[in-house]
Amino acid sequence: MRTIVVKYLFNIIALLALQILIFNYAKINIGFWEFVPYVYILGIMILPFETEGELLLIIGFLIGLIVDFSLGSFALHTSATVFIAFFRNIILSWIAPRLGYNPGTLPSYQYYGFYWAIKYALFTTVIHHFVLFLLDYFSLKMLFFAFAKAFINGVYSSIFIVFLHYFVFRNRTIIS
Amino acid sequence: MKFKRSTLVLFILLELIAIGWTIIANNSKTVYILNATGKVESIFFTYKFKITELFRLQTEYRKLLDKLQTLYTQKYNCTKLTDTIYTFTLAKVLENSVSHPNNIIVISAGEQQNIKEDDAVISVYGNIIGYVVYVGKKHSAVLSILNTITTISVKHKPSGIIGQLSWDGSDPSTMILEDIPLYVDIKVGDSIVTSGYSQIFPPDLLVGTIKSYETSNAKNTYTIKVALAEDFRKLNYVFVITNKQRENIRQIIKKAQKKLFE
Repeated sequence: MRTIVVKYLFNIIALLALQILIFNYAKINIGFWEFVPYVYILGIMILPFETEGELLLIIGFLIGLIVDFSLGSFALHTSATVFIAFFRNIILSWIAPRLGYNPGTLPSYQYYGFYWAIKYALFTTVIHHFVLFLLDYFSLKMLFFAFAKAFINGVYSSIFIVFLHYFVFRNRTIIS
Repeated sequence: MKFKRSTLVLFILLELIAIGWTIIANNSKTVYILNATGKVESIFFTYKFKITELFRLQTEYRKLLDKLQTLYTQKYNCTKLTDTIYTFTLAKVLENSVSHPNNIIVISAGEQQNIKEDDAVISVYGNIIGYVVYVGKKHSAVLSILNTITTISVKHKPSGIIGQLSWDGSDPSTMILEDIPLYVDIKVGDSIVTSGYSQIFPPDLLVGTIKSYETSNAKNTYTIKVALAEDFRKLNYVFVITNKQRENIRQIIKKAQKKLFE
């Protein structure tokens, strides 16, 4: 399992580079609200179905930590990414196709379809942003704003994530 | 919903670390002080700064050079005259050498930037580099002070005594000053600056500092080795100084000479 995950190292590094160099600056400002697309989450989403939970958690922690270094936002993204790494398998079971995931396939856009990819992206990003903004606005007053921002930012992130999801798997959908 | 207990334990552990770190760091007073004292307490801010700094360096550098240009203009034009005498033009160094007996520097400013022949050229640190010998449309050739055919009129700053500084062609970091009389008090580290008696270089531009000196019974002056303040191997940008009064002074000298020999 570990050898397969090493192949993903390139994808994860490329996503982090895209995030730090490009998407950190692709902000949308409406009033005092600011929406940033967080596409590094895709790094957790594309790991094979069979990846062990512990490995997912550790990878999530490291990815989140790197993004936090680039933004100066202490451990916000770390906690959100670890959360999503833990719930990834649960989310996958919510959106699974009727007969389940075929063993030997990868969680790819091409194999499971556009609607599956959108559901996957939206669920993952909105839950991730929930944790992110709840912790960010660590007060009950801002609870409503945190929820609203999680939804809107989740949609914004998902647009890019679905797009990149296609790109990551354009050459393979099956474990070789 | 299936997950192993070990996974759950690891999740809670990592999550607590992350959330705890966030809350503690967020509430720490040191974070708010960081801008005032310039001390970055958090490694998150250090790395964020380092990453963004790379992208900012280019623009910061150009902004600093523009600031330098205005500062030099102000410094050299602190006279009672209303017209500025000296204008400073920023130029990039395109070609450079220190290994020839007479070294030419090519800069990216020419006729279009109002450069004239005999304009002085200084580094961005205010040290003397040379003077313009040829002006093209967009580029110019500068004769570096590292040449064996000309000397520079300089002044020993503490005493004010004038001498001629020359280059022997070997060491690009040292030049020779030969006519400071023995009665002058000199020591290692003294500044050697331009005297202002040539029409080319403005006065008081730093050339270098005294590295060593020796005396001989054959002559009544020191032989001083001057360590150049500027590293000629590392030139990137320069300022070209145009002296608007120079033409006027030249005319006056011509007329005076004519009168003398009539």
